[in-house]
Amino acid sequence: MRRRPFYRNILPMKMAVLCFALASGLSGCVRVKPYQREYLSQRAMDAAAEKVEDRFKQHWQGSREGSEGGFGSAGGGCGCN
Amino acid sequence: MRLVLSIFLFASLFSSVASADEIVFRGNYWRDRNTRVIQPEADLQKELPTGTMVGAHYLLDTITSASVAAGAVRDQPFTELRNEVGFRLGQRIGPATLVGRYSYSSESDYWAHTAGLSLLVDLFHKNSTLGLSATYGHDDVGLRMDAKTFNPVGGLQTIHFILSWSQVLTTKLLLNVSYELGESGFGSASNGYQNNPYRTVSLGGTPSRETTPFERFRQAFSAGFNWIVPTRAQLVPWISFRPSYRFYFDDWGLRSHAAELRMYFPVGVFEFRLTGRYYHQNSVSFWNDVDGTPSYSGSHGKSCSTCYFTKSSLGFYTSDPKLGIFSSEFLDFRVLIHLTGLRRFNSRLAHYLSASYIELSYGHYFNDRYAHTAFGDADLAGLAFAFPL
Repeated sequence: MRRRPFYRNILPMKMAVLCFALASGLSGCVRVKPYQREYLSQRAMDAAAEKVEDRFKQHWQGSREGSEGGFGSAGGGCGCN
Repeated sequence: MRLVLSIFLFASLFSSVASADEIVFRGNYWRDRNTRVIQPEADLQKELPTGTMVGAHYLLDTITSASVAAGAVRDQPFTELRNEVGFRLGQRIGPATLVGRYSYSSESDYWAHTAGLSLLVDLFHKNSTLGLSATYGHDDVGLRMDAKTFNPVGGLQTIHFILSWSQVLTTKLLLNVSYELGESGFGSASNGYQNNPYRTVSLGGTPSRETTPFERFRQAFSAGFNWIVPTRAQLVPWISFRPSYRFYFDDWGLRSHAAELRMYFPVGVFEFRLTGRYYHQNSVSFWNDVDGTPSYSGSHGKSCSTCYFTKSSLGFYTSDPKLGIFSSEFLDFRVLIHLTGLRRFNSRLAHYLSASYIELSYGHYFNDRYAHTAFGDADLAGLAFAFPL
């Protein structure tokens, strides 16, 4: 079977570029001030709050599934000023 | 070999910045048809007034298995231990946070070093956070002959890069996107060994040790929202939803889609969480099965028609269930109990513990096709105690 060139297999990269452009474009429109972050500072909104549990989750998912990654998150919304 | 047990050490690269100063003691439990894992662990994190962040974790995997896929060569169950220790050190510098990490994992036939560096930059009055991360892993793989001896069979070097963006959209909505790029192995057994040395596959009717390429180029894209909805009710003041999606792609030909929804709602001192996840993947390009069981009719396996770099006239063959096509579902329920009620007791210990919490969770993992034949469904449970530092 003929190999596809490397640059033809970059669909996730294209999706990422699109979403990063969209997200960064939104940054110019949004100004949530520190005193408006009451809800954003809730534990349930903090991706980092469950990091210990998520480490085990990623562990077993990787041992049973062929893919990995996709868990990198900047963990915004901490409510820290 | 337990290759799978060491590929997660690079994860959560950005996770330490926003979380609280605390020490968490956690016990994890996994049980499927062949394998039982009991994993106690401790994780601590503290940010000093200087903006310096320190953290460390230790965990012990107690793995009891009769699965060939997990390394068993006999029917008799055996127990193996894996120790993992990790450290992290970070510093806030203006709007940026630089974090360095190192972890080491050791078991009887697999040793893994992982080091990473991540940079987070707060932008636009902390409405946006840009994350950049690089991780390097160096593993050594052995074939355990008996309790005292093993033969080194290869090594694995990995490099991962992560780019992430977190964006506050409204006072109640966050957007997270990330893109990951990884390379596992660089073309030889000494740096790209990704087989299970105990696992065999039928090759022309003869059991043969599996052979996979020495390089694997991975990409993953994920996006998710954190959304909180005030209810104005006293009993349940808000409900939070965290939908997310991940698309994974590698040059072995494996593509996967994972969609997850977490829902949170507090009731008094309790916080409940429901999680549902659906996952689907296709098989790698050199996968072959007969009536659902991995089997290769020729004596040379199949070539990796999708591999970017690997060229082999001999071909590859594997019976790894996680390289075949299957779907899985995961359902999980967790309750978090804040111990704020201890404030009523007039003692320093009670006041200290009132900032602590307890977590209890139970989940069930379903899968299908050959993954179900080989592994079956699984039950998971967790118990955690967290104390402030």
